[in-house]
Amino acid sequence: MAIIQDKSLKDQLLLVDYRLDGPKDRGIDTPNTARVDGKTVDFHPMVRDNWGTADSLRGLMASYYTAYNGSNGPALYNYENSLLHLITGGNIAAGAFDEEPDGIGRLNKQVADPAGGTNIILSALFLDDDQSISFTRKVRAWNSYNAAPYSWYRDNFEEYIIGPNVTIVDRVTEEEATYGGLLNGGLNRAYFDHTSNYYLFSPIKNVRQASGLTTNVEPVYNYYVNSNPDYEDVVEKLQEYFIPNAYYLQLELQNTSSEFLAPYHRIAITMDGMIPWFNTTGFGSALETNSGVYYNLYSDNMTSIPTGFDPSIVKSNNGDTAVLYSDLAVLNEDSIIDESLPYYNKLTIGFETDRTTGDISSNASLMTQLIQNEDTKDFVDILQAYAIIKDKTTNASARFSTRKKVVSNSTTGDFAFSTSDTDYKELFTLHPDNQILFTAMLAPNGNNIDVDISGIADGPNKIQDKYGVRFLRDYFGKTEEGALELDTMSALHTFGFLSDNDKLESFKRTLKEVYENKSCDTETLLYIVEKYRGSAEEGLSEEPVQTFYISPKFLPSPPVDTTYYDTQIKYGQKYTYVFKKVILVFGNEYKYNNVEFDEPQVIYESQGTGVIYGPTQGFNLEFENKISIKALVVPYSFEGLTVSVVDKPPVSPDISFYPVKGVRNKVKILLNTNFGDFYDKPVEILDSDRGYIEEEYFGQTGENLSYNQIISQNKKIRYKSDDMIDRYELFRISEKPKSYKDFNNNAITVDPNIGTPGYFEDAISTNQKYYYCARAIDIHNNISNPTYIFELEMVDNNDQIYLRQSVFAFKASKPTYLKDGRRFIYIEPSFQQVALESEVNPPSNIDETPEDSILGVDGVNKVWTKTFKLRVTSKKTGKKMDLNLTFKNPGVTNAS
Amino acid sequence: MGFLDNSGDIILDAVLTDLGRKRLAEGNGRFNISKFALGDDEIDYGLYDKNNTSGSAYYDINILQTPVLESFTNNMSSMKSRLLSYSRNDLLYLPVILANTNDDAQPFYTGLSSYINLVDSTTVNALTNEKTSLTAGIFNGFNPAQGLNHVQADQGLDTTELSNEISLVDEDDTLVETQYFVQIDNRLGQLRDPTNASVQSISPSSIDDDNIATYIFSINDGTNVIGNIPTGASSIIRGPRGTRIQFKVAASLDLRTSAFLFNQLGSAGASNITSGGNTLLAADYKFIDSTVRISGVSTGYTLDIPIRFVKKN
Repeated sequence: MAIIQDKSLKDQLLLVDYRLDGPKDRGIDTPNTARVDGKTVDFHPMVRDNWGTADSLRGLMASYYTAYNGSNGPALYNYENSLLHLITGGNIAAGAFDEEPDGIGRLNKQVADPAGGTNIILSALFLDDDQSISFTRKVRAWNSYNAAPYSWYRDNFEEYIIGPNVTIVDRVTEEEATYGGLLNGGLNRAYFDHTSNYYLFSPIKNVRQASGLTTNVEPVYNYYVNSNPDYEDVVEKLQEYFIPNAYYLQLELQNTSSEFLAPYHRIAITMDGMIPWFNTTGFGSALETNSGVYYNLYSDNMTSIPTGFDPSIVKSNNGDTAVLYSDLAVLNEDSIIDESLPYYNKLTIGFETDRTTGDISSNASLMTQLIQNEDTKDFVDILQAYAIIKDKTTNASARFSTRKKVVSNSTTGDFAFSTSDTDYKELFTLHPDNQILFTAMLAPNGNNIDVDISGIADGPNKIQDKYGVRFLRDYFGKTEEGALELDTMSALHTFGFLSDNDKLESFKRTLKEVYENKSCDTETLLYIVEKYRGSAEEGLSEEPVQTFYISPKFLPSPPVDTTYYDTQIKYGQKYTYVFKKVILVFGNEYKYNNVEFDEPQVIYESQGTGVIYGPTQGFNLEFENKISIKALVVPYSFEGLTVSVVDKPPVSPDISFYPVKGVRNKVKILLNTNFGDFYDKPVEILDSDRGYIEEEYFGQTGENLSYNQIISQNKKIRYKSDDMIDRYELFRISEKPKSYKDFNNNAITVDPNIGTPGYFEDAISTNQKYYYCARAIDIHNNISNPTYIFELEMVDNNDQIYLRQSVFAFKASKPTYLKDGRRFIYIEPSFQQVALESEVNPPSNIDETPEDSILGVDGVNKVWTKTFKLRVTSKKTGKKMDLNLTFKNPGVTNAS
Repeated sequence: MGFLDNSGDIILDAVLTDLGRKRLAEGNGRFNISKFALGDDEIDYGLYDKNNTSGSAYYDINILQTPVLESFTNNMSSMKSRLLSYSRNDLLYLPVILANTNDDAQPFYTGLSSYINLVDSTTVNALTNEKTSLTAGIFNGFNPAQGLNHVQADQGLDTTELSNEISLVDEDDTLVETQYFVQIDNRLGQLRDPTNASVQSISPSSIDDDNIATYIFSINDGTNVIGNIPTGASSIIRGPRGTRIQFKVAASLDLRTSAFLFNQLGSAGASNITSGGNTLLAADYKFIDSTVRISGVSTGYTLDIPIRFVKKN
């Protein structure tokens, strides 16, 4: 099944290596000390000590992104677009426009030659071998810089290109200024280009959904753990790593062996022995005690942490969690019985069509190739584990100039740009030509090797112990490949896989593509989800309380989501989940090696309708272009997703009324819990209900609507019997209600001391109608909708006493039916009715209205102003319909 | 109403109870179904056979092949086992109601598996000789204030897996019944407060067309019928305990003063009844067998307690 996702509705992040962006203003205010003929020159390709970008050659050629203020906000603009536009005869007065303040107008003008084409003074021909560029000086563009140095440089072209220091004497001031050549210091220098673009999910739910992404965090409250002390109260006082991780518990519940699936499961489940869930018979060997419900045992034993208890043991075993690729089956929806979890946040990482960017397709991605090869598939786990270790241990970062695109409206597609220089964590650089690196990733600690990944499987002193992250593993081998098996050979096989052919070369851009600022191929290696307490508005905890590392599903088919049930949360606590990605960026490392100049020559160039000719010279630039693979941590959303688990309001209670035989002034009212899960329109009774309904609606939907908007738009709230009823509110009035609001100020609280059923004996009068309704309030003070309204009357008919009860319904407003029937029935008075009377007293004045009812001949029974009934009977069904007719005579309308 | 699934065509067999017919016949628009209950009286879940050698598809085959009862018109005959919903998913045991017939509580009359209710003074005197108290399992239906024996039913989790020292009220009061319906044939008896000192008359809530009286009790309703099971008290419930319902049964005026119903509904005695050395010979009495039905309002759990009304000839 093809998944259709709309890229235009995804947020985007464009990264350009810091200082590989360049100046926007190629004619005005560019930082430069150049002075020509006594004046400061804004931009002069021949008189520069600062090219505004690290690679001066690309600066000259305008082969860079530049920051400008576009109509959608600050953005990055690829000047190569302008060059291509102008070369193909495009209009200068088109394209990107730099807005006020400080705008420089149309960006095309910055690189345009007024006579046509571009003002770039060199033309470049990239040879197919991707090892050299043939440059030629463009006569017309060169001459357009009509100032002193141009002619000098024309005659000293080699100096201009590679000269270390050239002294220019200003013709007016006669001051000397020294400038370096274009490639001065640029030869044999490594440049790294990782220009890349990423698609992010929108934090705005409807935009995200409209883009086709299902990534989400859904708070789910299943049921209330009825324990003493209260489970939710116990948890509220503890750190998140002291809250049970349901995966470990449910994995061990499936385990029929007396051996733990992993030793740390015991620590995570029992909180290092505080919860007596196992009968331990020896190291690593135990059986569940089955002596109670886990969460009740937990509540019994976790009310306080014993003095001297070292929480770090539990933190390192029940804190951060990782799921590597080969263990992904443990996250299958059917791997966990979510109904048995009291409450949780369900993290869904939706299937991404943009897991890879650039030219790389999902089918041909490096990860897809690796996992499809038996000899190399485990290397994916190695890479992921290595990334986790580096994320835990390194602070290295890489700086980029960034452009962020944030979509704000799913219907119109409105968006805004912003730019900034941002540091992103750089985990490692992969050198496929370096076997040492591959073996280093697997070697034991020591020997100048910083990590030990060889023990990714369980065991003492392995990476799980060292870095405080625990792997959630597929112990039951649900994946076809089986559980994780890592050895040195896997990496060596991978090395062979990558180095013996051109697999990685296919991800590399040519230098021409680098110059064109084509985005690198990238692919997602790992998702990182950081969980913070709080929200962006109210403030987040400084550090994430937990971090989850989750592998993507690399195979493009079937397009399934990945879910993680986060049970290590507190009731009512806001959590913000910040999604990030570890990205493999297939960038470039290039180096200019050597320059060989051509012989000077005279060439002809077209100029308008004519041609110009002049001396020129070219040179051949040899370069080295290699792939540079970086693992970066980039955001997967510009904002975190904030959720809070709260239970739903309860369903309306069950209410029943019982008389007492022979007692005329008393009625027993039983109230009981009802069960259900449905959406319903909220109903207000008390004045305070409006605020509650607004909050509840916001909590459930994230939409901030007023009560009146909720009602007028027929919005609904989800009601669910997910926790205990604490008490009931019973309402009684003796007047026939017109709405539920009529019950306002008549609440009686029925609070059962034991259990959930409520009981109330009401004193009533005989032969008096009463109207009752009730609603339930759960232990979290959520309020149900009211019950039906019941009309009760204790009838006393000369001591014959009985209770009459019925459901009361509000009178529906009487509909008005109007239908024009002229098409089918036309009724008009007969001629005798419309003829004038024989004697009519005309008005004495023309402005006076004549008498009414002057129509109708003498002697006829006039129909005017009388009402008649017309009965229509259907010949088919026999149904009858009466039409009431009144003949009206509006009199004579004065023509004036 | 019965739901019959005849392999393909779904048949919903609905009949009205007597009360339903009455309401419908009134024709005043009051016949509105505002709530309903579901039951599975005919299903024996003990037939689930997880050891069936034919595989998991056959574990429940005996249950699925159980014939489904057609609908009854008598409301007392249906819906003994009602279905109920729990929103919780962590329940390992569900509460039950059991007659507390432990020897040190309120056992049935020996050898009868039923209580005996003596309906008039002649019958009572025959077994007490106005001197001795009645033996266990025999009620003084003529004068309930005299005598300690009464009906007693306990509610809780009947399992040995959990300690009976756990109070359900303290640990998990969502499983505690605090309201009960009690139904008895009003022609035969009425309920009375269980305490001796004040054997108050208790009024039923309703008496239906079949003369079945329904009483409604709630904890703290002013009667002494419902209460918590005291810690350490003798109870038939083997696990955590909830509430106890107890009451006495007074014989109806008809039974006290007339043998009409015994002749119409009853039988002649078949075995001797003895109490404290006194014997009522089988040939000297008639009896009517009936039941008292106790239902929990929350769970719908229903218990029928047999009771034999006895009258000396």
